Amino acid sequence: MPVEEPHRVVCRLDELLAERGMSVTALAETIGVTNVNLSVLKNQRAKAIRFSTLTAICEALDCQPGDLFVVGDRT
Amino acid sequence: MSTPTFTARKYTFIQIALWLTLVMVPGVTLGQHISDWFEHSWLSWTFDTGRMRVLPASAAAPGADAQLSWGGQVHMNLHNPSASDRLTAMLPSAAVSALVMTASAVLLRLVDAAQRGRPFAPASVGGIRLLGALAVVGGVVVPLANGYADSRLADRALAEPIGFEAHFPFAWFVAAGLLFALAEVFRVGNRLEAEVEGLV
Repeated sequence: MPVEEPHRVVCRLDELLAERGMSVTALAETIGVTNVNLSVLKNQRAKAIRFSTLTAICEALDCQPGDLFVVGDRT
Repeated sequence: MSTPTFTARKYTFIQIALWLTLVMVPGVTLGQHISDWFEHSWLSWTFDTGRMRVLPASAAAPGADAQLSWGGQVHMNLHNPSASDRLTAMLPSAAVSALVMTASAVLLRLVDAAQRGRPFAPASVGGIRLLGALAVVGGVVVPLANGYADSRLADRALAEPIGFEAHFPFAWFVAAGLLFALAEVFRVGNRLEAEVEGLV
């Protein structure tokens, strides 16, 4: 896929949060990222994520990057 | 915030100064000419010959008087200038006025972009390029307008024609080069801004 095409990465943050009974606000406070930024990630509006943010989320949710992101099918 | 922005700041004083420039420049540069025209005053014109010349006593044409200063400046008066003479005298001021007004409008757009915290907006790149183009155009058009007005009015006021001379200001072209370079910096800044958009 050429990089110019829109990405198909899907963030599963809302599912992981629901499984753990955690709110976006609580996660934001835990990892020190703004609520707005986490909402961008949760609502599939993010285009990139810092490794530091990814590490913090994975630590807080006790998961791996592969649990957080999947590549969606071509439509 | 999904889009990185610079801290939005108020540039009220700069905006007021630019608006005043935009509104007042035509009045300041052309007002005296228009006022003289309505009052049917003599048309006074001064230009620099760039060298010491001896102006003979009979140098002035009928209906005009002329004096040469030690610095090489010719001061002349047309006693009954035609509409064409008046318009010719207004030409350099009109050119400067148009350039300053356009530059002020472009600068207002740049300040607005900076005020919204988006100094690298694509419109800013275009605006800075336009300022560079204005410097090039101004560096050519203003000296040409001055040279034309000098020679045309001197032809009317002096017994002997002085010929056409135009001196192009090198500094304007250097300024244009700097502005084009700055536009390129802003273009790269705009691209970097787009690349980090949506970064969390």
